[in-house]
Amino acid sequence: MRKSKKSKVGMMISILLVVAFIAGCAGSTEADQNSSDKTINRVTYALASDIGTTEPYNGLDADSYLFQVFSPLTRPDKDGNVVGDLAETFSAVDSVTWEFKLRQNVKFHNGEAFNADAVKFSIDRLLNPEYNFGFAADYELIKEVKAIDEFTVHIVTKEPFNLLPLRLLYLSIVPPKYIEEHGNEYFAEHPVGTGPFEFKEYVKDDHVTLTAYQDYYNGAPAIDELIFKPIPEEASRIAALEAGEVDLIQGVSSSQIERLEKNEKLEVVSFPTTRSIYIGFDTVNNPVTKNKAFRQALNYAVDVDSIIENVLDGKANRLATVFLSHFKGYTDEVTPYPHDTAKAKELLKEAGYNNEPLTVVAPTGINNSKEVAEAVANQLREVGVSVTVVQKEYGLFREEIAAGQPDPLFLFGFGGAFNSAEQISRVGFGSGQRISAYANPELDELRVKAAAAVEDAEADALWKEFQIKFHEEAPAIFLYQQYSTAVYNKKLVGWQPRKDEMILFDGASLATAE
Amino acid sequence: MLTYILHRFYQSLLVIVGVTLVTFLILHFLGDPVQLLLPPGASAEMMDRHREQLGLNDPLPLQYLRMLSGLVAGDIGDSYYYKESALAVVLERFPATLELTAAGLVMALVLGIPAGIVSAMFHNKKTDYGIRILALLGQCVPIFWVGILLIILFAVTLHWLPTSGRGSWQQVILPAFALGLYPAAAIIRLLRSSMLEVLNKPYILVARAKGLSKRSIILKHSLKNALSSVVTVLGLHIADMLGGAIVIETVFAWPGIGRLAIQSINNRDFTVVVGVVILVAICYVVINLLVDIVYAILNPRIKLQKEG
Repeated sequence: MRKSKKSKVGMMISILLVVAFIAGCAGSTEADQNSSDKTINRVTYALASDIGTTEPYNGLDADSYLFQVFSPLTRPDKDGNVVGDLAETFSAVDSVTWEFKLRQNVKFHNGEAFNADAVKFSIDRLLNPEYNFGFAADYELIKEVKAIDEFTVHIVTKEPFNLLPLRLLYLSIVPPKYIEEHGNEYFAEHPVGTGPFEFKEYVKDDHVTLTAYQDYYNGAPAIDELIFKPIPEEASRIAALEAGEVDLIQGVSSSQIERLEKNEKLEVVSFPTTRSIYIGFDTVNNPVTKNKAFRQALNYAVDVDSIIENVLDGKANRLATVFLSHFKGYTDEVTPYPHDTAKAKELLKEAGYNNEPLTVVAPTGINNSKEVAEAVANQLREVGVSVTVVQKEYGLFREEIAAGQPDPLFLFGFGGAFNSAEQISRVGFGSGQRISAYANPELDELRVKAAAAVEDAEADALWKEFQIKFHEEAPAIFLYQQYSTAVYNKKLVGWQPRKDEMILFDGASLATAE
Repeated sequence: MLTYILHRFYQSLLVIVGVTLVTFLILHFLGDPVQLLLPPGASAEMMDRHREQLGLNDPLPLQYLRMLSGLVAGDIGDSYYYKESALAVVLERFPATLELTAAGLVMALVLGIPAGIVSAMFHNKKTDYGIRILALLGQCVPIFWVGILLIILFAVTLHWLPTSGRGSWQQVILPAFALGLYPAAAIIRLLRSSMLEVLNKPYILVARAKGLSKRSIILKHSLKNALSSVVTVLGLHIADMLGGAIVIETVFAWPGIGRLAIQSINNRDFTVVVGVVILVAICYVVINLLVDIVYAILNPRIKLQKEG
């Protein structure tokens, strides 16, 4: 008897589940994305994590859809030089004031006109403490914005800062009337900007659809529709590319490259990024790494060229310090530490190194971090340094270093679309900064002076001095400029990867179907 | 009867509260979400201001009570990452997980029951061995690996099915298969052993004497019993699948709460993780509660034993 009652229970549960199944199916979206539609030129980009938000002042990733829908005043071009976007020209008026002459006859997607008011409104909105936007922290340096006339704007910074135009990349200009009329929340759900693509729809964790803006000031894009699709697992992203469901992916692991190169339908491109990879030292707490001779010794001990050749397949650029060659103020007069094990041993003795065991953290999330850290550790052991490699979750490592308690050595990569001499020296090596384990007031002062200099020549001279001192101080084992790899369907024509890893489609189009 | 139901209900509430407490504590000892929310160059004042606004500077018990009272009102705070109600973020994605779980269950039953029956009917023959080896593999093989293999075979190589995502019925098949594999294997083995149990019963001798073949005996007499033991175990498997679709959802880019949980843990998005854990705990508890209540209704003996 009991057994038939159990079956009744089973029946009830099954019915409940079937109901749930039907309810779930009823809520699912129509599969119009996968249907082949030959009349629309559609390009699909697969990214690693969902956008999360369509509010342009909150998004955090370089490959965000943001840059299709919105435009900033100024932005870097493919080579990292700052050019005007919504600003036709720009120049420094004095050490804290920058003047921007705005492009005329530009309209937002809803027809609203772009002018100085829009710029002032945008910056004020971003910095409004009530709204608590994620990007606000990067623009705290702005003191005020003055609309001089309809197409001229002055931006005044709190301290002199000659890299403002580069920094403005993420400051998307938004339409004042539209936002005033509808409010922030509505704007976030129906974003309107001046970029080459208009926002069509966002289905959380599934896709963002954008359509071409015909009245884009730089000419309507050749692509009709752009889809950004989050696929968290790399193997699945690659599978989607190979199956023809997506057309472009970026940040592919080096282990997959050889296989993908053999695929005739796909193009594989490796390119340098704005990320500088180095092994930092905890110079604040650890008595061994505090010693400059010790740090220099390790720089002599590591054979970076060999690591680049053998661990990274030649896909990286050796760096003398952490400054990249396209940075304003970069000097090639500072050369990398040569590989010299004899000199390394000599310096180790001078430093009084007594075989104290050290750990090197290889955080997850940085390409090849474990392999590179292991290779470096091997080379260090060869000169008598006792070191073990420890893998740590990225978030955990960030917390430890922010709390001032990192491991004695840590592999780290710092980049981003507006990486610059000032940015990496401050954030990575400034005293008391969140991801810095190095404190040197003399270098801090030099950095601030270099970033404040109004004349290029003066700034260059100061940065050169900085690089020379920085190189000698060796607050890190200097390694390389990281490469990334993009793989795309050959039918995508005219697309090129960018150093800052932004996904833009200027000049790209789809080859006509055979 | 009512006392029993109330008693079980009260116990279930305690379980849920316990789960929220443990989750809350674990997450808070994991670290500070503001570190990852703001760009690396953000100043200390900016971070403090963010922490203040998120209520992270208040003492832990206060934060916990705030979360608990909010939960009762249906609000556990805002997601740090999505900047909207965490509960809304979680509930938006719940139907997707339900759909996947239901499909996985259907797949498990469709694969498991016939295979289990065949295995029992042809027991100790080659078919049986074959099925049992497959079942063993199904329980041992990592889902992650199976998922990717399925994508490579059926999507990339054969182009029969899409690689990932949700929307069309074709997109459910591969993830449902991967998810249902483990329960299917368990069902096969359970069904087989339950059905074969009957062979040891004395009345089988009578049936054999009557001239019935072994196979029809197994089919007629033991299938019903065996199916009910399978159903008993299904409750556990369903609850497992609801919470355990994490790997499948990530591999197949399925927009459900499992994938949300992984993302939120990486982003230290406390409120969302708590939301997911609580939701899954509620499902577990509700399923168990329903089963217990229905059993008690159908079988008064259970209730009496508990009171005795």
